[in-house]
Amino acid sequence: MFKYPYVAENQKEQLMKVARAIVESYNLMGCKVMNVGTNDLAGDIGFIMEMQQNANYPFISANTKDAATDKFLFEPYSIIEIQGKTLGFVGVTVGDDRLKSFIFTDPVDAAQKAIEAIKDKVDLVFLMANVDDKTEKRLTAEVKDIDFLIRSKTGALQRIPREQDGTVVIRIGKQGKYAGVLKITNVDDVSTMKNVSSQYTRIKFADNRLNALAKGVKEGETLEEHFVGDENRLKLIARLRAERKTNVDLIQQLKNTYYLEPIPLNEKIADSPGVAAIVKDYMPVEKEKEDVKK
Amino acid sequence: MKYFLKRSRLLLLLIILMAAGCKSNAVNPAYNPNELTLLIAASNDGEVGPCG
Repeated sequence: MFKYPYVAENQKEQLMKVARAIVESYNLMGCKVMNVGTNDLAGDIGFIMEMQQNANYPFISANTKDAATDKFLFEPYSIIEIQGKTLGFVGVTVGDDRLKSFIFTDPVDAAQKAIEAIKDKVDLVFLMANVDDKTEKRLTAEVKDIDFLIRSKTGALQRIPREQDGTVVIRIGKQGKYAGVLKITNVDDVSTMKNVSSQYTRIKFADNRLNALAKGVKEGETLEEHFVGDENRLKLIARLRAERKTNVDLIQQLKNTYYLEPIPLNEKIADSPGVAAIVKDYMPVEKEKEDVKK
Repeated sequence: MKYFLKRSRLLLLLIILMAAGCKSNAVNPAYNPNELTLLIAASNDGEVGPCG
């Protein structure tokens, strides 16, 4: 919610307005959980607690404490049911000495403890890690039973997730210019995670080619009927359909497969009117322009 | 949209999540009924997800 772990006094009011707008937007989007990152704490304890109260989704952190009471401020994890599967989300953050009102316990110990508490209750464990590279390595090396480590506090975008010490590491950062759509299929308790990006890429390629061929085809007419007599096109259509089927069948047969698609959040993505209205309200320059027009 | 994206990194987090809106249909969900789809966003702050 904040860019740095501190807020300049003369910008405090404006930045807090923006943070409130962010929470309001997440509410509209139906977000299910948020790991409280170090920068999210820049408004101090009272403010983050206010944000938590305003949010329709849980704030989690397994290692953030109130320095005054030495008590943890957030739930260490959240368990979410989606499409018949139970997913466990654990959050940790690296902390910052400038945040005097907070104490940060070791993210590795905290993550392990929280994962121990949920691993038998969930189908998949996601560790949301607002940490540096060094701590990320410690987490994958030392913490057991993580299926996916979702990394923030990084400018890196890795289109194909890395597997590190048996854990899939997802970095979808880069100043928030991308969102990641993660697809996981045929979840079971024993198989290791398998990346099926190449299969999905081939399916998309076949779909794109078939869609291009379908331009000009009448409603109710098949591609084969449309191109009857055109041997080359018919061969191409048959090959694309076969390739698509082979890859779809493979994805359906394999257990614990995943595919990450980074979605660039550019002008091709339509704005949600509700959130666009919130942005407008919290953009001082835009609001002033609007007021002048009125 | 582009204008907003250029405004500041701080606001980016807000805008991106608005734009994503959990509606990606880039990959046809009909491929497999046993498929879970999560939308994840992460920035210099914390992470949010899954959405929708």
